[in-house]
Amino acid sequence: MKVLLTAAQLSRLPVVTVQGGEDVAEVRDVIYSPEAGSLLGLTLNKRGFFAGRRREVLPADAIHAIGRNAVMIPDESSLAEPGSAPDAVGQPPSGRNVIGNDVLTEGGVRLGTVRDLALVVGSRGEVVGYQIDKVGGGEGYIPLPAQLAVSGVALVVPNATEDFVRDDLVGLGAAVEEFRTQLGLA
Amino acid sequence: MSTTTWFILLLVVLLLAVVAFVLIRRLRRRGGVIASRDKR
Amino acid sequence: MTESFARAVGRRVLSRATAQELGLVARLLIDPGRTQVAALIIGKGKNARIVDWDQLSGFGPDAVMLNDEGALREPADERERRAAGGDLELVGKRALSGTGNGLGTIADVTFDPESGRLESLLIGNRDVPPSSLLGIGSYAAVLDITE
Repeated sequence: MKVLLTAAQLSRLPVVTVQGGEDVAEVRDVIYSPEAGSLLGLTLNKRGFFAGRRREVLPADAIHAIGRNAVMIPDESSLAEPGSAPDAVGQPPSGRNVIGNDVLTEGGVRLGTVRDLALVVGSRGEVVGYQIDKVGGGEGYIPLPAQLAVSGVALVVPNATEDFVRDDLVGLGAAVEEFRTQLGLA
Repeated sequence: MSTTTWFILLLVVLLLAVVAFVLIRRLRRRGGVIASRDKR
Repeated sequence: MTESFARAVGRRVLSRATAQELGLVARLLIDPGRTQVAALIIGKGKNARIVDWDQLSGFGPDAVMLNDEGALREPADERERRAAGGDLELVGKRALSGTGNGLGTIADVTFDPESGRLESLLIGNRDVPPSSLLGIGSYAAVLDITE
């Protein structure tokens, strides 16, 4: 069953072991590959209002499943030491948080600001789009692969993206297929 | 300054320290959405 | 006649040999295989004592009868200590699917008072087979079902 979630919904979800039924951590950062459009992994906090960060990280391939209420892992050994995890997850690059980035078309038109990421989750995480605050006001969703380039301050997208801004996640789902076909990527 | 004033001052400083500690903890817990640097 | 955890809690426990009342049912503990009531826990905290199912002469609607007082024992391992403390209590526990979606809370657990065999878990308005339990912990019971 496919579930559409945003990164904001994913953040702060408990990480629960299937075998143990224990909440061993909660989600902090969502790390994704803009190129591959996939979830790479999660960094973690300890559970509890006053608790701090957790050292271990969770690479995407160690995740059993992601749902609306929890990220499921087989057991606590699924969490990895930062040194043993892929670099992007163990040592996330700094200055690459895309929230707040300007969204600009290659033609130089500003479409809005990045607010969130839209993901299809199940046993893997696939990034399907960005949620943006539109220039004219209001929320919009733009489908991936949207960006030609990402930096710490901007997202550059194909000109065609302007026609594919949707108002809600449901609309986004349909837009993703159309968009990819048009770009010759489907 | 009188002893009472010192006491109050100390309490205020302690309170501020606790608030600062909690705020910093909460801020460090905030998550972001991070784009990896893809190899080309 | 079917029994349930919620109904059984608070029931008197007596010794068949002496007719003495030994306490009230505080919790029921299931076996690691999740097919069976393995034991009862009588009393709370430091006074918690465990009685294995096979030490019962009868699990009746009005009282639970032990063969004799010697059947009461202290928790023997970590799992039993956690159970006595309430960590593994099923009634009221958050139910989560293996896919990470919330299913509600476990309202009750039914079982056969003759054999101790578990019959079903009541979650929301559904009857769920106990065999779908994948894991039980302090945060949630994880179940192999879809919403």
